[in-house]
Amino acid sequence: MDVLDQYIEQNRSRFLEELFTLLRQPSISTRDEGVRECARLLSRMMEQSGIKTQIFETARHPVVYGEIMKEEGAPTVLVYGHYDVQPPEPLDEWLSDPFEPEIRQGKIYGRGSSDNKAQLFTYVKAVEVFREVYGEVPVSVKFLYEGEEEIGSPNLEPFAAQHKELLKADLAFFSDSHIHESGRPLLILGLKGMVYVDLKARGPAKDQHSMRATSIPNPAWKLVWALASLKDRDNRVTIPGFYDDVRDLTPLERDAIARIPCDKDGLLRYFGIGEFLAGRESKDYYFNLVSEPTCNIAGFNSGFSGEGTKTVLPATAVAKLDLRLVPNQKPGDILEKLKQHLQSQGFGDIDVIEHHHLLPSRTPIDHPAVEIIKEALEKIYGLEPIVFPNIGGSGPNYVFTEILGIPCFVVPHATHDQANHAPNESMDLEGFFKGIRTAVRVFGKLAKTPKDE
Amino acid sequence: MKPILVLKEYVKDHKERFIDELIRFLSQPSVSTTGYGIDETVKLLHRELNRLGFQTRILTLGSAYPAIYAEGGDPGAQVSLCVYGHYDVQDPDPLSEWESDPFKPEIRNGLIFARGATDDKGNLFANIKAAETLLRVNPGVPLRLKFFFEGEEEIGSPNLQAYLKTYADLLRADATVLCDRGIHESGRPQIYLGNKGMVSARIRCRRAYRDVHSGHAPLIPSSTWDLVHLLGSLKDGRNRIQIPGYYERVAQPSEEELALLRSIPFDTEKFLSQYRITRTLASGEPLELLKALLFEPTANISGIKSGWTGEKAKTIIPAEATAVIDFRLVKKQESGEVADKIAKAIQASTFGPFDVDLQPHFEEYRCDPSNPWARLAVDVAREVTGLEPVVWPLLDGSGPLCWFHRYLGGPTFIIGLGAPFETANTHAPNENIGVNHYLTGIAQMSAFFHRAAQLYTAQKVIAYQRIS
Repeated sequence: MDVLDQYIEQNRSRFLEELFTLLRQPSISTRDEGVRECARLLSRMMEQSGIKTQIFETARHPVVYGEIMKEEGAPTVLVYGHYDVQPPEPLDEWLSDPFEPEIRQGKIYGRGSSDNKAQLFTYVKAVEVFREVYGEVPVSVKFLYEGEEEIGSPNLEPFAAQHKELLKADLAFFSDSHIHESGRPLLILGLKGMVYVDLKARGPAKDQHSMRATSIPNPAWKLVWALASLKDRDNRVTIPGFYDDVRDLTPLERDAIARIPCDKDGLLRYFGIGEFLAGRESKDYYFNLVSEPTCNIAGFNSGFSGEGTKTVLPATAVAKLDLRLVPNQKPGDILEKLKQHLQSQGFGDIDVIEHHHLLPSRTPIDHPAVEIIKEALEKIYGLEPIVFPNIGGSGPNYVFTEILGIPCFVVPHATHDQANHAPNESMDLEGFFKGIRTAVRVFGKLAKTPKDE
Repeated sequence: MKPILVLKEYVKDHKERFIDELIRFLSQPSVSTTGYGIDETVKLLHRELNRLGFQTRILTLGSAYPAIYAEGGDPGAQVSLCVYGHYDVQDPDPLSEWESDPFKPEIRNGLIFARGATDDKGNLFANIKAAETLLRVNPGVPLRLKFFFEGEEEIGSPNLQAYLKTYADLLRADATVLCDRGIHESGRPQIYLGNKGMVSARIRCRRAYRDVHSGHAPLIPSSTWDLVHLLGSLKDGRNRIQIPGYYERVAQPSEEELALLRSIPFDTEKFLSQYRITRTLASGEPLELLKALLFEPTANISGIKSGWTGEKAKTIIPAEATAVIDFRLVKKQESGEVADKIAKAIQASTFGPFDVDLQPHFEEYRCDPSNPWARLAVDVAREVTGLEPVVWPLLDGSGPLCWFHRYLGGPTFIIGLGAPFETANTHAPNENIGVNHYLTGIAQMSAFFHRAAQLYTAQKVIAYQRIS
């Protein structure tokens, strides 16, 4: 591997200059600013690294697809990333131009630096490294770089479902996210699923004077009672059958969770609370973060709650509910159970307005690539990687694990202070090169693994 | 001729002038939310009352808008009566929905359109004209008549209690009537003998320092869930309030009050369609609905707010959740005591801690339907209009009657005048009063004043009968 690392060392400034070119191109998906230009730029840069690319149109922003294929039978890696970025506002809080990247104190500042342009670029450069040094890449690599992640990836699942053959691979790498705050590298094997709904209770046609409260049903009370029926005092979700499909964690997964470092007191201070909620079987922070599905009220609004007293009987009450799911809960099934429960409790007249669904994902922790990735991360970072069977958040990983049916590995290289979505977003300079080196090492090791374990 | 007919005759003879004078009064804006025209209105009323020969004083209290006090009739009379009204009006917004300028009164189809036409300048002015009528017809009437007009009703009467307390000696009378309501929608006169009390509670729940990404929901205590569970424990799904002792001091309506309820028109179907609801909480006959409406205490969530309330999906665990509840109290529920019970129930919740701000606003007050003043008001209304009055033993809403009773002594109740609130567009564009409503109000109040003067004799008779 030394010769590969050497090539990376020798080309540091060119790699950075290329990355800067990509960062200079705005690609703000939410307001269609520079997205198409960025797709073309990225495609050209991939071509220059020897990757055959194709731009696929979707309902809104294009997908940049690329591939560099080995002979039949070689392992195939699918890399996911997104080339779109969040809007940079508020501009006056940036210390440098969000679209004119600048290195300060070991960090590359710019919108999209960590999220996700530098990280997706590491895999492009890994391909170049192999080609320049050995003339070939040891594995087949496919690239799926979308331009809609920051607006919720509305076309990712349809695209994957329509191009299953094109995207056929043995495993997927997900290039987003950040490493542990301790500086230790991370391997994330899954994300939670999601059901997001508004519950809307209706009362009189308009807000009424509350003196009619003995006669007119109040939708705020109705929604309070409906919500109270969803969860018991121990924080367990009481929708019948909610936990039925929850898959138990395996001993290996439990072991991985037990090795996640946890500064409980620091976390309590950070959140400003006295104690964490307990889970069904444990009080352990990470055990519950990984294994507990949730039913959270993200918002509740009814009537008038401003300063002073305005005695109304509200016309409507709305609660916004996000339920995060773990394997093998299914969003459609959970939604149906929620509706049935409301019906059976006498709340059938509460509207259930659906927002979106995401399937949970959790790649098996005993997959052979887990050890390969861990070895590479340990070698390159000099620190033991932390493995999350899944994290508490949700995202489109299920597109790979459930739609394409392949294991998916999130291997981040940004640092936790990346300030993505915020002013002064940054990518750790060394993280960028560690990312290239990790991809190179993992590609090399995967090539030596028999394809069918 | 019977005295009432003489009074009615006077009103009829002077109706053109009475209408002109009201139109002039309504032309003067008096918007308390902005202060627009308040000073000019005070001066105008001062002049008007002086012209009537009343001793008039402008009462002030700190930075509050002034109140007007005026006294007329016979200063040595045995019987005194105080009439309350308010000279301020609601803001006329939205102006574009008015068919004529809210402060340039216009008569269309027998209705005078102007802001304050019914609420409450029209009714207030009817009282002034009623005093004129009585004093012109019967200059020596043995009655001390007091007017007390405030200028802050439309902003919630923040200083009414303090005014009553400060000027109690001046305002005190044998009885106080409030003329700040309309007649019944059927056209029958309307009298309210009481109102409910009220305590409001603002419950605030705070957990984490800030909103947290909802991926942490297995771990971070949620202000919203805690509040939901607390509220769910305060009232059950059958609308029964679960605060220990809440119903302990609720008194059942008396036979006399029930008899009044039976004479109140109540159309369940209309009620349902008016509010576009499919059922009422209480079920059964209209009498049962009225009983619930008037004699049941309430716990009403008037507002809840927590976290993200926009259209889209945002995933946070809200750090803070707030609920505002108003509790309307009925007979024998004392607001301070109820507030204590509410506070105890919230403090005892295992979902706490919660910050609670409890504000007692009003006490329940009911004037006994057999009180001579109440009976007089009902009798006079019937005689003047020829229609059976709708008499509410209690308002479904809360109000300040308790303060009038507390600071001024004597019975107090509300005599509805002007247009029915259902058609008067009070607080809305195109507020109005029927010319006939206005003139009837003058006649009704002058007759009421006239007969009140005779109550002294009547009271002596009652006292005599009790002794013997």
